[in-house]
Amino acid sequence: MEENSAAQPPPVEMAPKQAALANWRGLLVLLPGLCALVLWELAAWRWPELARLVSQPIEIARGIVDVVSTGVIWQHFDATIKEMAAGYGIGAITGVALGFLCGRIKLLGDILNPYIALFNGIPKVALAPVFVIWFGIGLMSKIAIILTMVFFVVFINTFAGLRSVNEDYVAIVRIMGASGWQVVREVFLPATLPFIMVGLRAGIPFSVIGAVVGEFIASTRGLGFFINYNQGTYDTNGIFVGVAILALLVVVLDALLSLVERRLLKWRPEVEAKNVGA
Amino acid sequence: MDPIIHLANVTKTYRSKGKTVVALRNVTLPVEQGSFTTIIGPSGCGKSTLLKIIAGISLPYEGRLNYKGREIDSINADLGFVTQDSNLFPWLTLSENVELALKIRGVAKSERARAAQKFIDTMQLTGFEAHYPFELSGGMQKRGSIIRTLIYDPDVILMDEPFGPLDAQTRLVLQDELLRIWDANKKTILFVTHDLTEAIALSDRVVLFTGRPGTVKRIFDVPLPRPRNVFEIHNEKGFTELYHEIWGHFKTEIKV
Repeated sequence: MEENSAAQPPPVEMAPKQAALANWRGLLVLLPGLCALVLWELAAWRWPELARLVSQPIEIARGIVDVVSTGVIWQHFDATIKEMAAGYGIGAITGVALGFLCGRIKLLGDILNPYIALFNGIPKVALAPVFVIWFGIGLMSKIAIILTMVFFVVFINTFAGLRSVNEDYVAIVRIMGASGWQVVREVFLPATLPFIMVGLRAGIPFSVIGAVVGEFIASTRGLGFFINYNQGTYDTNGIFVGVAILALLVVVLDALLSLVERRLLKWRPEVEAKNVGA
Repeated sequence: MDPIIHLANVTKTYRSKGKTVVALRNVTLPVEQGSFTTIIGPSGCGKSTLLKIIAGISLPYEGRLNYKGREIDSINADLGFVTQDSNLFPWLTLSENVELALKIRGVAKSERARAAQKFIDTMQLTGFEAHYPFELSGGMQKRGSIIRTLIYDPDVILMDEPFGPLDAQTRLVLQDELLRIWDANKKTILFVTHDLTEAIALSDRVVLFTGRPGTVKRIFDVPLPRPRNVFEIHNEKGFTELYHEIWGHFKTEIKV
């Protein structure tokens, strides 16, 4: 039988020319950032009084090297990372679990949905002071803040993912003889995974925000505490050192998660396309 | 022999926007084991609903529906269902999609890989085993969706306009392949279509449905000899007469 033209395998490997272009694009991405840093540095040289307010890239870099080499930053870094790991971990797990329950048990979802929407509407940082009262100025209050923030973003995405599962897929595996658990494993989990990943990635900056806000309110260590402390001594460079470390932390965590996402979701054409630009 | 599927006065109603809609009314249809039956009717006449009821996905219904003498009251895993869209799972490669039913049934990995390969080869999909659905053409996806159903050897295959979204050439090629598979193993096939030529070319019987609420208007036997050549079916003796006869009844159901 003569096969029609449709049977051509699509080009999965990039042609060398395209790959070279992708590398160039990678460099182009860095260009605006580099320009901004150079301009910032030059402006700080030209107007020293401005530098007192906004510091300057070289000084910030020096400050980072300094706090790292003296080890001053480690207790703060350590505290923030622990808060984030615990808060994010618990928030993500409960978000996925409850999202699954509400997404699959229609009645439960219908009952809880308005409440979730209501609580999600509350700015979670506004709850931070009360968490400090409840859980003290240590680790627990920060975990509670982060957990609340991460839970909602993960829950809402998981829930939306489950509600959007193609019912045909469910019918197909059920006719194949799948048990309830097999339907979850073969359809609901993989179909919802892209949504869960969106929630997990969105949760990372939230967990940083939660940690910093909690530390601002009451704490004895942490990167937020470090920033707040430097504010107290009018050390703008110290503030920017803390901010830069937080930014780097978010970038690294997001890159790690994006790596995981790419591995898990390699079946998606849009992820394939995104790789070209990244 | 008793029919493998027997519908007697099956009526299906559902509620939509506070109103009761009758999708099917008093459908009576025996389906013989090993037969190829097509169901044809105007859009929205409940053809797809009928397949879903038979598969046990769309419950409950009124009337009687027997499968091998037992009443259908839950999902019927003796059947295979080929949906209108290919619906290959996008997160599985072609071979993983084809193996899925065997995985669900607990077949060992090596054995299901061997079974899948056999079907992939017969459908000329060799070389695409590790491709994800988005990397396959529409026709290839459709082949994949057919063989993932064939692989677990269901007694009855329900097909809901499976070739609808394909271009005319691919469609003919797949009709031909489907007939060759059917000739080889004589599964019972219940095939929904809105294309009269396709209905005649493939089947032993054409069941004509009325517009909504759908019911059986008339059943036509297709006496054309087998094996059939779907590419030249127009030239087959008796085709034109049968086409015009069915069309005469069909067109009165289509409201323009």
